[in-house]
Amino acid sequence: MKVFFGKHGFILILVAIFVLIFGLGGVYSRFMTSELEEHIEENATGAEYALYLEMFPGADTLTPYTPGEVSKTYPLAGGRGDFAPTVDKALKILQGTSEKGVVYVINTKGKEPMKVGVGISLENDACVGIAVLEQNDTPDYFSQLGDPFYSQFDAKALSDLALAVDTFAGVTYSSKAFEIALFYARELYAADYDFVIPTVAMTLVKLEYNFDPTTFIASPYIANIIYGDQDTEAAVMLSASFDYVGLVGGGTDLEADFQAAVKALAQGAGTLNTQASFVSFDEENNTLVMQTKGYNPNAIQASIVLNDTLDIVVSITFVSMETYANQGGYGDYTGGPAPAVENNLRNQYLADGDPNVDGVAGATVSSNAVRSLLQLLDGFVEAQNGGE
Amino acid sequence: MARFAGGKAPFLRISDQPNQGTGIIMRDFMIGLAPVILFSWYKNGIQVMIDGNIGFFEMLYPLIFILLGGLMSLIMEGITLYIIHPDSRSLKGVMAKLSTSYPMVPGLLLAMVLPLYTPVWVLIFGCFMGTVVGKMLFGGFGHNIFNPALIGYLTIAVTLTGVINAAGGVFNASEVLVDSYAGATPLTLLSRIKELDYDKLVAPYGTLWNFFLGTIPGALAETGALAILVSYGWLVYRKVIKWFTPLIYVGTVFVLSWFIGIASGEPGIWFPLYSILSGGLMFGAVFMATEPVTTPRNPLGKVVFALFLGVFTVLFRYISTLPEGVATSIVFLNIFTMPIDNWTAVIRARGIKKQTAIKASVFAVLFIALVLYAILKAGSMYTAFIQGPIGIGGWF
Amino acid sequence: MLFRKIKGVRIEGNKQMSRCAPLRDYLDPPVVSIPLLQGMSVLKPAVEVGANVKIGDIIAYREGFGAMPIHASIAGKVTAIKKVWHASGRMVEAVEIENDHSGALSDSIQPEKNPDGLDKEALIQKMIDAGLSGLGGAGFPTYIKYQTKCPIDTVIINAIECEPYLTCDFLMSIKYPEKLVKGLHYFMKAAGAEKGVIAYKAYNQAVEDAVKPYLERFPEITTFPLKDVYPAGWEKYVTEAVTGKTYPKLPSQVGVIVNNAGTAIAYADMVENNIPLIARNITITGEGITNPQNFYVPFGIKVAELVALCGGYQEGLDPKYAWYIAGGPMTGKAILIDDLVVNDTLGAVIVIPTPKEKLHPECLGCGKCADACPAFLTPTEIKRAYDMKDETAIRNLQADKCIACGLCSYVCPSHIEITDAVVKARDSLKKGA
Repeated sequence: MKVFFGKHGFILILVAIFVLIFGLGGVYSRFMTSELEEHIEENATGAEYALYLEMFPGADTLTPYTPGEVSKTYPLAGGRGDFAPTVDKALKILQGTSEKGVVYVINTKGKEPMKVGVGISLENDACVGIAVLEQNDTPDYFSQLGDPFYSQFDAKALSDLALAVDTFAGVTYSSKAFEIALFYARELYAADYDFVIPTVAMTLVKLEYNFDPTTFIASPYIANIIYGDQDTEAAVMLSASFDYVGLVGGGTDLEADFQAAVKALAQGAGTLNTQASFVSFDEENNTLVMQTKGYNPNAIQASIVLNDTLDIVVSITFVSMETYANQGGYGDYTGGPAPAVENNLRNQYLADGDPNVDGVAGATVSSNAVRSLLQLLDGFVEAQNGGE
Repeated sequence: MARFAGGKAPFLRISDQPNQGTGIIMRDFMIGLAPVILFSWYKNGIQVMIDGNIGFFEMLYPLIFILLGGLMSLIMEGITLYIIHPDSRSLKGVMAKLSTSYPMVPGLLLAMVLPLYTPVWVLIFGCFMGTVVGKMLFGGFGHNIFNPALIGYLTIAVTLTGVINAAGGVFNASEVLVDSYAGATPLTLLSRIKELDYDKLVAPYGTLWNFFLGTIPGALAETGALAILVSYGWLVYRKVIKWFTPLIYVGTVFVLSWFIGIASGEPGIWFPLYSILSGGLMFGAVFMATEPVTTPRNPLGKVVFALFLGVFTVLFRYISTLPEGVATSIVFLNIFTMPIDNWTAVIRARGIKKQTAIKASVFAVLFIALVLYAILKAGSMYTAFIQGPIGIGGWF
Repeated sequence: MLFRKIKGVRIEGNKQMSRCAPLRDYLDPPVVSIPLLQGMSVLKPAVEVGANVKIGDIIAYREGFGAMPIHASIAGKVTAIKKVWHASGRMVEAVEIENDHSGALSDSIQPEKNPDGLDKEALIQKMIDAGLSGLGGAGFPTYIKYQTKCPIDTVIINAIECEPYLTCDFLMSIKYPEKLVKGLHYFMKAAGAEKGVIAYKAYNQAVEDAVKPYLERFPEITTFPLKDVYPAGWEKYVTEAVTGKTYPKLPSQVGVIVNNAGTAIAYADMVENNIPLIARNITITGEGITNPQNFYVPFGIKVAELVALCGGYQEGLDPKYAWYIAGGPMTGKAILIDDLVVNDTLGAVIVIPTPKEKLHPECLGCGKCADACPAFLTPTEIKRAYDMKDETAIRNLQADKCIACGLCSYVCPSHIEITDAVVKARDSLKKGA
């Protein structure tokens, strides 16, 4: 053995060094590779986290945690049914060791799925900001949402019963996504923290259109509610944005709490199509002007001439600039310039009196808009008839 | 009458002077490598750590990796010597051989042209191919035909690129986060888009000034043109390398790229500058094209060698699908070192006379033909993005 | 032409050792052994053992190419014709003369009455009669140069002494500047040249200072300083530097003759006093010599005598680890036994300790030899061709142009005996031809 080492010791040492380097070097390389992967991931989340930290001045650390489970559904804009938002992740925002707030990353939906982070401050139970992480909505519309829109989230108290988002005119779908996210974040927040969503004892019995031509412009909706400890019944008139206007037939106004509650309930009900609305009514000529929202930010207007008893539609004339985005026409429909689609649908309605007209292929959005206008109109006519 | 020692004239030898000879050349060469190694360490280690993207041990990796390359090729040469030389089977015997065969150089140079995230075992494989196959099997130092480091490099490039990319590839932890790099070094980008557009080729990496400083993605040590120039100055000052070989090589690529640019409709001087500053050209020109064993000995031969290197680099880089071309062209021309050396030695000894005119004109015709082919072919392969003139200042 | 400008290499001179002491005359040694070999030709002795000779008497004849007489350097009795060590590294026959210290001069040594009246032929005949050969180191018979058919316009006196250690030409020049100028003057007449140039190394300003006073009489003679590089003393280098012309074989092809400074001084004596070539200057130097000096000595004197005059070898010098070099350190020969006599080509004896043994790598292929070669050869290629015995390749590579200056070995970082290989290749061509 000793002889062997005396003779070959040198080469054995060289080989040993070789093997040692081979092994340790391999470990080192593997370490480098795994670290790199980690760095890439860290950096991606790092940029995202920077957005969240910005919402909380003074905050320095984030800790992910598992939020409580809350399942709720919210109606989407444009009558496209209900949507159940989910929470992607939740992060506690810390300043040193003290908890400053929480961020919920929520999968919501505008026209298309959208991912936003909602920051909620623990100090005053208020939303302190919303960060858009992913969105696929129509760029021309989405880009219209600017600072004035986003700044409403900078300090929005969650104790506000209605917690309504001021919709940016013309970008209703995307605006709704933020509202859903905000509502859902409040639910999560309530589940995770010592916060109670304000409630008022009130039941919405029925929400319907106001077909009284004398008041329907200022308050297009009427809600029947039962409220208060004594289960008081009331019918209240609501504005286009579900703000309380007054009691039907007058009387003592509701208290502020109940006013907010009725708004929140009406808003959340989602049973009414708010696309079409009345604009004006000329009693002398029995002429009703209505509008509905299609693609064009300038809504489709319709002048409707009724008979003396207001229960039969005599004629409908559309004033429409319906063009889809920048393409100079209704989406795929190329049958003729506006109001070709509107007139088509009007003729269907006037022919059989059924407001559930068939949409025109290639002009779905405009068709939907006109259909809801016709449905509202039909409701109005029916209501006059029934009123006799 | 005293009996004196025998010897052969001349009795004065530079190699006999105490501050001269092998050890000094080796030392000067190592000092010459130092700026490039340090720059590489700075760019891929220290700066990245300052950016906060890596930790301390990751910061050390580039330096350790390069030194490991030298160490591994030293050990492998030691083991090989032990096996093939019966008189070297002792520490002393092997050390004596190693002290005169520059054993660390191939590994060091190889490590310096590999991407940062090359696994160590890939480096060891490259050292094996370079030192054992490329050098020792040819008979050891002084007998190898091909540049050992480049043999190792090409073997890795052909067989193990996928492994390197899977392990992290060429970008360091800071560069990998820059979206505008789009996962490509400037040269791979060019070979992908085949379009001479300043905004696409240079702008994503900053300006040409970044190319000069070396703050662009690329293999470990090849990007730092400034550091390489410092090394070049030192090596020339210490007479380790001949000053004109790198200059002619880079100059040929510069002029040819310019002509290719003009032929494809982009006369801007940024393109030739981009050409010489990107990829391993500068590194190859200073450290590989001047490697003494595998390049011609006489000065005229070195000139001819460098001129052909320039043309072949352009051919490989812009016409074949290889994005680089430096390593390939050097190894390719290593084959012709002997004939070039022989012919140019004759031409140089006789001057251009009747007897040597044929040899000289063979070189000239071959060179001109290759140049014309390169310009015409590359000129038609690339399209230029025509835009308004930018001042030179705009490129820096 | 590009890459064909002779650059030369700067070599540390080591001249300060023997420079300071003045040139010392030592013309009366007890015995001399005049070797019967000049260049490659063996001389035919013209005296018998036992004959009495005076200084300047003819004792031998060189025959064939460059035929001319050789003269006794001291007066005395021819005691033997026996072998001595010669500077070529071989033992050769030599005429041994024992000095009778009479100092008797040969009858032929008479002052010339009208040296300026001599014509070209007479001046060349004087070279032949005096046995004048170049004292620079090659020992080429001088008159052959002057018998050229090419028109000569410039004679250059080479006082450059580019080899390290050597100082005797420098000291000779500053000791006999008048003879130097006059010698050049007669050379010019012998060649029919209009211009004369004294080329010296730029740092030897003393040479110019010494000759300046004598130049007033000879306005056609100028001085020319050269850079301190090796081989600045090579004919081709000097010619190119002074006239800007290069020649393929001989300087006379461009109208130039180059002569050594010592030759010019000896020639001045020949023309004016008819003294034949019997003495020369020699440097005894090197780290192995206690007190390096320069001497002016008769041919045939034993070098050991001169070494003794210099204080002998340095104390502690081990001859086994020292070289005893005949000639300059770049081109000289290592002599194994320090029993050497002075002949016409021996300009120096240098004793230096051998350098420490070092490990040297194989040929790097760095090309420094090709770079340094003043003849633009590529020694590595010649060596390769020689190793493969490829005579055509050796000829194509112009090995015959090698001047054996030793620069390729000097610059080689791998300590390869490259000069030796190239010289062997060159000589193999000569043998073959």
